[in-house]
Amino acid sequence: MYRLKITDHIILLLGVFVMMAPVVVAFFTSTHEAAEIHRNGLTLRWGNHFVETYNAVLNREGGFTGQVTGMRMLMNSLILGIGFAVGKIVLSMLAAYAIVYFRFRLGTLFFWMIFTTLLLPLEVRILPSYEVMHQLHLINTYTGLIVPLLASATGTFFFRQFFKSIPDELLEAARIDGAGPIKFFFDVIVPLSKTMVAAIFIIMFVYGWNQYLCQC
Amino acid sequence: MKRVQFSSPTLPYLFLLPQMAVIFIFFYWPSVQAVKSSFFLEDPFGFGSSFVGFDNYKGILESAEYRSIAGFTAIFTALVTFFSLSLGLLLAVKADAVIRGSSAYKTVLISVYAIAPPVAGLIGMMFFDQHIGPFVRFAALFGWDMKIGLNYFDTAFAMVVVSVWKQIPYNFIFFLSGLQGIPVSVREAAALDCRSGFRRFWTVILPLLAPTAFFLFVINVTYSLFDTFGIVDVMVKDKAANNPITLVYKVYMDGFRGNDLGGSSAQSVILMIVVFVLTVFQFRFLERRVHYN
Repeated sequence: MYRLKITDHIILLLGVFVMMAPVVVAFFTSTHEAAEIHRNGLTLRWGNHFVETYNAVLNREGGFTGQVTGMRMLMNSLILGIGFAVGKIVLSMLAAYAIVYFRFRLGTLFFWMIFTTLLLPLEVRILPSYEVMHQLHLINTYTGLIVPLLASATGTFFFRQFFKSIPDELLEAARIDGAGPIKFFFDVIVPLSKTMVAAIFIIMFVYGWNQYLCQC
Repeated sequence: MKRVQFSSPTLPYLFLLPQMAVIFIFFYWPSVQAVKSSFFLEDPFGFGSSFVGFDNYKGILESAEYRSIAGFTAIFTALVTFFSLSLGLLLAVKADAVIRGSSAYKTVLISVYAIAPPVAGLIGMMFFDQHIGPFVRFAALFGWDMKIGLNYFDTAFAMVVVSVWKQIPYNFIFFLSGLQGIPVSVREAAALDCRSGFRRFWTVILPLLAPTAFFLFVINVTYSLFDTFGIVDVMVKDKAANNPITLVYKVYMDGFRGNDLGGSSAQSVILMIVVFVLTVFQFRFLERRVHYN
């Protein structure tokens, strides 16, 4: 079990090569001029056009209005990523808290209504979503970019699983001490969820940052 | 559910309100709209629409093009899911087994996770480029004249390769954390009982990984169906020939490029039903074989 195995390392090195080589080659090639790339192909040599290429990518104006720069797009992605991640965490924590910690009549129904959204990603209902956004005058706004993405259950589902694993004794103790639902939420649940929130933030941020289809 | 719970007439609804509001406006309303407009034939220039009943559905299901795209989507999903899962598992098992340099391997393999699908598509296009792509040159050595964007099979091949490449780190992360959750005592007991490492993996480790594998299976099927949109888009956009596309890409093409709102909505509805059936199937038949304890 604890022997050095050559085949293991060969497989891993092969994996690392396959995963990383395209990225490294893409980076080195990006330091060359377009004409040079077309003449010589992809390369692993350092070119002299690093500054020019990246300056052009970040600052050249283009797009529909002719004023969109790469910096602006980075900014948009950042706003989308952070807005989406924060919104998702707040909404789904509240919803999961209600579903797990309250006994009320429509609880199960609401859970399934939220859970159904897992089945149908935005890609499937992109056109009608666009129409709804148009009716709400949300086209070309950050709200219109972020809010439709929030209509999915992933976060709620994660938090539900997590809340269910929190020991019941905590709630019993809190109730003996006289804590109400809101106090319990902010003083016990939120601090306990810190690592979970961090993990979900990263996943959601990458999701928002990588969002490609939504042209709303 | 919890043994002790709060009961309050209004609070749970208040907590649920924001989530439900967003879901109603941006999930249920569009879904209802999709079902509704799938029964109408929309004028491409916005001059009203006429009710056509099930004609949109009939048109789609009878069209040979749609059927071939559906077939391609099924094969594509199967290939991408299989290869990205098995390669991710292989690398995770090896990274978990080696002692020396294991954290370096892990860091490097995980870092590719951050690449967005369309960017992966772009990098893939560079490597499969007609003039400068190393893969095309490499294939030429074997007499394979690769023509991405022109030849149906070649394009499909490139699409699968890039989609698998993009998804490996994700599976790697989850398999690795699953492997690390397996107690050392179990492994040592298994090592005492059986010398063959492969057999040990097959009979002890893999069953213990089943919950992770099931979760990843669901995620990977969804990924191949929907999240590869960016890769497909980058690969076939502006290409003239009859290239392979997935069903989701067709929904987008017909809706936004073809202005066929009714047809596109009908396709959405069909996809919803397919995904729904697939999910029910996954949970009913596959999850039964998964033991959580």
